[in-house]
Amino acid sequence: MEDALAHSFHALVAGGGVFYLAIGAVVGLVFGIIPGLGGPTALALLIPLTFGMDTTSAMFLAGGIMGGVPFGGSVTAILLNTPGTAPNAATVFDGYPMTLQGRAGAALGAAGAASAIGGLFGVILLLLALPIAREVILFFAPPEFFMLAVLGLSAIAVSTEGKLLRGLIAAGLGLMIAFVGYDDVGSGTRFTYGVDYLWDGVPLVPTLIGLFAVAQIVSLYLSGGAITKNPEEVEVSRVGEGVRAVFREWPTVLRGSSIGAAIGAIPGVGGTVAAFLAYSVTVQISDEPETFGKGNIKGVIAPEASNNAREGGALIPTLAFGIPGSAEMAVFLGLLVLHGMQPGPAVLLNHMDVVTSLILSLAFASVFASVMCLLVARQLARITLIDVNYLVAIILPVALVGAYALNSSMYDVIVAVIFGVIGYLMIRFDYPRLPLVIAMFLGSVMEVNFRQSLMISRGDWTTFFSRPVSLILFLLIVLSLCVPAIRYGIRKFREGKEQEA
Amino acid sequence: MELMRKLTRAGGALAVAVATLAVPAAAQDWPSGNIDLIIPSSPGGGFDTYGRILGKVLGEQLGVQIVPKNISGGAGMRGAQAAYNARPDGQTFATFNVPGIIQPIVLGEETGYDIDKIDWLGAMAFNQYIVVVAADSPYNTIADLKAAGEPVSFSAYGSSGIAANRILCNEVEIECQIISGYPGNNDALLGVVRGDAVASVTPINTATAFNTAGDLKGLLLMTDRDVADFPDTEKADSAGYPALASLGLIRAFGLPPGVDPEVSAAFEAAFMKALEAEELQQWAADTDSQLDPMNGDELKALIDSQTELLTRYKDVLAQSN
Repeated sequence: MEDALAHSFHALVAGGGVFYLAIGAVVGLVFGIIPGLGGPTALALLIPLTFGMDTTSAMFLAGGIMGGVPFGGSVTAILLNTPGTAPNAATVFDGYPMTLQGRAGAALGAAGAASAIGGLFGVILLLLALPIAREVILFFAPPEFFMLAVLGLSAIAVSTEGKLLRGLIAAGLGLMIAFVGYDDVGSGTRFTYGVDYLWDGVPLVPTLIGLFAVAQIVSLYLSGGAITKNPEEVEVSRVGEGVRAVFREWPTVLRGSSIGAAIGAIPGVGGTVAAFLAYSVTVQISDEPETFGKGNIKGVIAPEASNNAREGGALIPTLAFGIPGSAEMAVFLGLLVLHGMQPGPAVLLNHMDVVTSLILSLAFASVFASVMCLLVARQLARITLIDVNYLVAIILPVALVGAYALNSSMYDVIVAVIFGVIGYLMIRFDYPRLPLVIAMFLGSVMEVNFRQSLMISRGDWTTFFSRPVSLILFLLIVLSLCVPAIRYGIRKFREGKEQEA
Repeated sequence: MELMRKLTRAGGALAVAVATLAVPAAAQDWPSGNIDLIIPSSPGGGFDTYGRILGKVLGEQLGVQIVPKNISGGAGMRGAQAAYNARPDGQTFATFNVPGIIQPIVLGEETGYDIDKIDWLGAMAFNQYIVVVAADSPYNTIADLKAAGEPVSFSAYGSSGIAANRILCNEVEIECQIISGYPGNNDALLGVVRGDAVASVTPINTATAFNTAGDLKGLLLMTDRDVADFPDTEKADSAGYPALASLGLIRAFGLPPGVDPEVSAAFEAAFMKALEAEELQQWAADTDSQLDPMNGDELKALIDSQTELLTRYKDVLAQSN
């Protein structure tokens, strides 16, 4: 292992690795920033370019992309209320309110520093977990996946504070959309109404583009002016403040990174859940939960740390079992195979140098991408001072082209437009949009694993509670649903006492 | 006179030129620029990997760029439809998910393509199946499984996987329960290792790649070939189930109907030549990827025998899970 590390480090410094890493990180940043384009697209475009490269260089390039994308995606989430990639959706909760308050620089700084530290942490965890990865993964079967998905859904309860009913309505809509398309368990299609396009369900990314990018830009256009309403209050030079906040709030960073790396390592749940869980846990254990959603910097730090840590975690099942932990990893798996590596336990034995190159490049890419972005964060933050009339002309076409670029499908653009209208109506009538996305994303994970669990146990539903990990997850769900109620009760009780006094 | 002769000559030359233009010089002119390759799955999977490596080698040999286009969905049906309706000018070819595209036809569903009209170029590989159980399973042969005395659970991925598991159970007469819904073949195998299911019918190459740590045990190779990683496992023929050997995933390639026969022949020759390329052989050896080069006619015959087997089990396939 030390040999492999030394070899990779040599390749990074002397063998041109830095060059590929830098290119990868820049590509990753750009693809992360543009809604619709994300890690999977960037990696898929890159596959043919790596044919002629040696494997180590290809790993540096891929690692650069995977390290750069998560932070790129947070930039638009913070500045425009539009997550660049699905896992950045949790960042908008507090990132965008900070922008509205003129603290965009601080939010970007916090996101950048949290990404870098989260990425490093994920990599360290990956190194530590490699020897026991197999055993950990075997602990998770369909009942556990089901419980994890429900835990993710319970994040809705946190993300809708004050608007619970509306949040549940949005989530219900999301669940209904989630069940459209091919039924993986029963093998048939549902709710497709004879439309071929719906066979694979309503695609998540065009939906996100519509709900966030299109809806947001329409809403901004109609309200006019600039995103930040009081330009004189804007202090875009507070990037340093954000970075310092990350070091001050180190427990939040560690918590976010741990959740990200752990959830990322469990195949079948995905990074979007990780970011939401990191956020909701942070809110729940905070002393002042009411400040979240109104520009609390911890609300940016937790999901961003989780996002970058997730990549390290997601590599574990990808390498050890050939099971991709995310869409990005699925494409990455194809890249590995093209370069003559069959993922499986053997990769860890036979290709340790490649694995360490990848780990190193992931670590450096997180830091590199963040530092680079922090340098331009001031300029990026100025976007919020631009007259919205100009922004519309740029963002709307880019968003729709992004929707098209994914599969070269015009239908995807239509989906983005339809959800743009839905999203605008939701803004207009004050319905939260994130519960819809969470439910849409988790609905099928939850359903498939619920049905699988019951098939495996032959209809015995106690399977969800008789397995230790599943039971622990169930207790966590109960806890996460009860905490807000208990907190509310305590507050009422205290207020009552104060009044008496 | 001189002028007249010149004119005649010019006219003759013109006539020749026009004639040359009029004859469809398709085969000489092919390929006339970049060629699109429709891949019926998202990037990263088996069909994608095979398609891209072929595209690279073929493109280098022809001196053009082969541009992969992933059109995923409906177990390969959407890609097949796009390929079927592509312009038949020899500038678009596709990889087809067989038996994914046969199954809906057998079940009498509306597909939007006619398999008999696809102009088959050939196939890269024919991945047959194997029945596996966990390494510590009490079952050692397919006969043990048959004699289990209770329904045996099988993990399966995708509609082709469910079909393969069902056909095995019916052919061998095992009472089985299919656990479906896994997001990939490796996930279904992991399900066997962690005890979700007792057994699984999975492509041999998937089992080989997954089994580097010896988590799995082979019970029946649904092929007559020797498989180095499962040397002692019984084969379809000797176990008395020869029909099972015609089942498998075919990495098939074809052109939309209506391509000029000369162009089609030139394309098929180029395809077969690419399959012999050293780079492709090297890739297959490095990655343990199977290569069974097959020309258009051989592929057609294999597709026919698969269709026959699937048709025989039409009722079994139509069951919902």
